[in-house]
Amino acid sequence: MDVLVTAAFAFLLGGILLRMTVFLRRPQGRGVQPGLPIRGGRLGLVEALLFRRLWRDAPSLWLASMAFHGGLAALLLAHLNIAPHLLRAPGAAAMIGGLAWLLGRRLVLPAMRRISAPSDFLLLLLLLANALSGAAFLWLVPGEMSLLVHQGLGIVLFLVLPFSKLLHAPGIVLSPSRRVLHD
Amino acid sequence: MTEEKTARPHRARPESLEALGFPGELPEDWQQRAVAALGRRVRKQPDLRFFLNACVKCGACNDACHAFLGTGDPGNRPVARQDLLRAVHRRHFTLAGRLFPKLVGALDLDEAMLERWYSYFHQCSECRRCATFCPFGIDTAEITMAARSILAEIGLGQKSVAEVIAKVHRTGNNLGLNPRALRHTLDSLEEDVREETGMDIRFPLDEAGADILLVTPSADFYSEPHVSGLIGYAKVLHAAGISWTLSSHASEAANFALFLGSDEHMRRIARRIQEAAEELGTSRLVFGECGHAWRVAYNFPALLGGDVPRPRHILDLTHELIGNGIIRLDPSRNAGMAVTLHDSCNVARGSGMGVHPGGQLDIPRAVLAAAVPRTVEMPAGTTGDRTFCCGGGGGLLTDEMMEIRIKGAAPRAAALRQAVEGSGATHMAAICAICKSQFSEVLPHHGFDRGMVVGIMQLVGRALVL
Ligand code: SF4
Ligand code: SF4
Repeated sequence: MDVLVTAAFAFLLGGILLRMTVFLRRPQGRGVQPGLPIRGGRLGLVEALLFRRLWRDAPSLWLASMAFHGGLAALLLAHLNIAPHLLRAPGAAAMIGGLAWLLGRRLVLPAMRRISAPSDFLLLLLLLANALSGAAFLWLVPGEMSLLVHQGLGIVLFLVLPFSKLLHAPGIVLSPSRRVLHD
Repeated sequence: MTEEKTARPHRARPESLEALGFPGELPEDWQQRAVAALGRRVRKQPDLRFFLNACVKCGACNDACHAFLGTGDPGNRPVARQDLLRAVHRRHFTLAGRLFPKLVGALDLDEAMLERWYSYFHQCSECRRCATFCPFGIDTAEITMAARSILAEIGLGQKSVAEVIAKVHRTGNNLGLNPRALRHTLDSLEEDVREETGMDIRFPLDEAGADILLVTPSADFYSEPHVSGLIGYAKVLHAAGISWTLSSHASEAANFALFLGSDEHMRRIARRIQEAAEELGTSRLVFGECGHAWRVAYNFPALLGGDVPRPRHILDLTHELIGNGIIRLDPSRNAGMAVTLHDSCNVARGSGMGVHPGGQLDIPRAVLAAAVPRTVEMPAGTTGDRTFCCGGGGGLLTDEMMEIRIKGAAPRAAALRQAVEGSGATHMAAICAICKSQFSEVLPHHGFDRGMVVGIMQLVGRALVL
């Protein structure tokens, strides 16, 4: 099983790299720059990662998204054996809470339902299932079976992600319009 | 559903599309052609590919669009608009979309979809407000331009935009004015100004060796409040002792090919201006008040390549002349005015001005403040890089689109009302020919007088001490 998980993870990394290469190419042929001259000048990496504008425009979305992504990052580190005891519980809480909020608003708000495809729900569900099965294994029903379920879900996630909208990740730094116009 | 009976502009006649090198009618195999055109566009333009791929359907852009806010039609939500192209892209260019279209929201390009493309991609004014709300900067304007260019490639063009592009290729301006008519117009302006000021202020045309070639939207030649802006440019250049000229070969700043998303035609129109400058031997290009023209001009170095210099904005030049005391303004000549500035989308979000970042927002304000006794601001979030489109940009400024234009102007009208009622604004200044025309026509539907709409250079012209 561990081998399978590792293989699936390698597949994920390969997929990310392959899809990222597309955006490293400079745009050609188009005469009008895609940059947005957003006030305050160049968007630094810090600004890019903090999404200050989103914080002001939609604080609850910002919070849910930060909780989910922060929790995910913490749990990734924990899986790599970096401070697992410190990171596990808060990471899981943040990830599950954030995902539940994201899923809830997508289900409840008519505007959100309207712009969502089935895959938008399924991806959130898959992530939530991963987080919940991991939490179950750690704290509720430890044992072989729980671990297998969690690992199986992990493999599915790694295989699906390269085909998903995961691409928003490199976009944080590589987005053409977030390259500021005044270059 | 409101969504089905939406606005659509008149279709271009076959002759006008053919004149631009597009098919005149929908060909038999339009589906394949459109998909192939989409493929080419995406290959050529990685930023478009990014915009099509990166959306997480977070909904942060849901309420950003004036067209949605004004019409209430969910099809006018930015992400819904993008999805029209995205769904087809998914269907044909992604593995998931080929295998499981329903699951990932991929759709075929059938006739119903084509109808929706034509309608919704022509209700977008390409103003980019939504892009400032998107965490990934996804630019719906770029998607709209791509879609419109694909539509043109299968013989579905918008009438007014296609005709205007053909006209500017033929005559050098959007109006089809010939050099004689243009000279005549300028002569009568010289007379008007002589009567008003008692001075000989010239409106030179095709004068070789002038220091500056002034390129301005052709609206400046024929109707108010545009003409008063042109008079303002002439007075300022006269007072500063700068030799300048207009060109009959390039008597148009506007570049509607941007709206169509056709890089080739955009370049051709821009090149005319460069040719005129070379022919007349003028080294400096200055642009008058026109939003999208300025966006294109700001990009001249990238667009035309080589060592083409970046043109200068008339407001930037005026700002400098005021700053170093070469011209003097007397705001009391605009007594009684409290003016608020409508940032034009293509200036605020599509370009810069001067040497400092944010100059496209600060310079117009500084010049305005020097020209009038009092300036006021509309509410935060409706100005600056979050400015609302006037509702007439991107080629929407036609009669058949009047209903959507009136509705699309509603967010701006609401902000203006706050400035009028809260801070006593008496006028709204714009620095774009489309904004000025659009507001003059639609503000009366929102309970304002059309005379409220002014240009900054118009006010400068009045305040200038000659
Ligand atoms: S670019 Fe402007 S008009 Fe088009 S969808 Fe975005 S906000 Fe609306
Ligand atoms: S804000 Fe950006 S990512 Fe979110 S739905 Fe709109 S376009 Fe998509």
